[in-house]
Amino acid sequence: MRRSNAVPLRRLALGLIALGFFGYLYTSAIGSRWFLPALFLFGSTLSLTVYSLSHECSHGTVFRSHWLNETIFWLTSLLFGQEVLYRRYSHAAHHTHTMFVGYDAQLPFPQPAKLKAYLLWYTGIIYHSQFLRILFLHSLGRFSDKTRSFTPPEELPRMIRNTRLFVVIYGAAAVVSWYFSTSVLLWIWLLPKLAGDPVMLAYAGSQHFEKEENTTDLRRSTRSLRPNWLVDLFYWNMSFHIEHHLYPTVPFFALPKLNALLRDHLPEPMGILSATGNIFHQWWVRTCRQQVAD
Amino acid sequence: METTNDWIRVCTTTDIDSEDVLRFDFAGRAYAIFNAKSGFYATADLCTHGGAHLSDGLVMGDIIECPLHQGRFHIPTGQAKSPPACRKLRTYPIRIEGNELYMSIDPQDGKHES
Repeated sequence: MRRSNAVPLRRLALGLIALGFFGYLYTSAIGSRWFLPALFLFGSTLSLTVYSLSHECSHGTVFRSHWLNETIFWLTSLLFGQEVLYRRYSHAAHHTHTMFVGYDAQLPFPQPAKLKAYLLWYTGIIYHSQFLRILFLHSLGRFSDKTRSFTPPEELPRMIRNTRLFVVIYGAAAVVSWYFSTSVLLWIWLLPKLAGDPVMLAYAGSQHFEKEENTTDLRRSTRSLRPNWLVDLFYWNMSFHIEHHLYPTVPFFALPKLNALLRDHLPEPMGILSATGNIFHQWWVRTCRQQVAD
Repeated sequence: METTNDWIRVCTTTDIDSEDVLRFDFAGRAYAIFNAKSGFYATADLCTHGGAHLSDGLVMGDIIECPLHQGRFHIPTGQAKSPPACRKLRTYPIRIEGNELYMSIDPQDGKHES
């Protein structure tokens, strides 16, 4: 296995060109009847890119050059809204304890999940409230028992320092916008991001929601999606999610090759709409069974 | 397995490819023997973060990347270089005689002694 700079840089350039094109369509559509579809298209691809690239770089596997990987990781995590050390340590705990209730640090709500939890997830309320809560608490040096459970104590001061840096950068962006009386950030960042987050959250949710809990078999606790070259341009091949959990060292661009080797041993992947439908179907079946049992 | 005083014969230098790692078990402990960019080194095999076997990881120059969470260590010194690794890895002296590679299980700074 070889790491590369050329392959991810080409992919990044292609993704940025596509984002730039969608952004051009969106800004051109402001004030027209095409505004909402253009906002949705630009926002979805923007949110998906920021989330996926931050995730891939958190593993340090995207670029051969470590500094390049860390630079993109900081930038995308800043845009995604999660301080880099928290992102890394919580994600490490997620990989160690995938779907183990009480241990998987990235299970966003208590299991078994209720319909209300899913609605709060898909509308982005959980994601945004978690962003604000962690930013507030960690900048004050307050950590939950859960965060302390997966973070080495010597890393907590760095986590505080990083979070405060994030707060300063967000605050500076707000102050500069206010000082120059400009709403550019609102139009090219905040609004598209808020509009696109539900799509990003649908992809993030498809990875594990309603899959089997407390099993070490990653094929049963994790869901892969059917690969789609256009989506994977922004999703950075995270469609191959079971493969990623099985071999997290493998860089995103080698996941299709890994899939070709493992395909016969993996469940059939679904499209995003089928996967989301499957989540609600599983929830419905589970809830009905529970009511009958009660 | 041969031992000479405190030195334990591990393998020959040709047993480990360039930028590769070999797991070596001795007296109930696992060690990682590296053919890194700057030479041969020995460290503890278990990652100080998640306890994964570093001998299953990826060697890049003088860096070993943990296969489980991709924490990184500087092989010659054992220093943690990238989270989630943050605690130093124990290193052990290596000695090369001919093409035979020996290690001492008394942890030191991991300096190459050929």
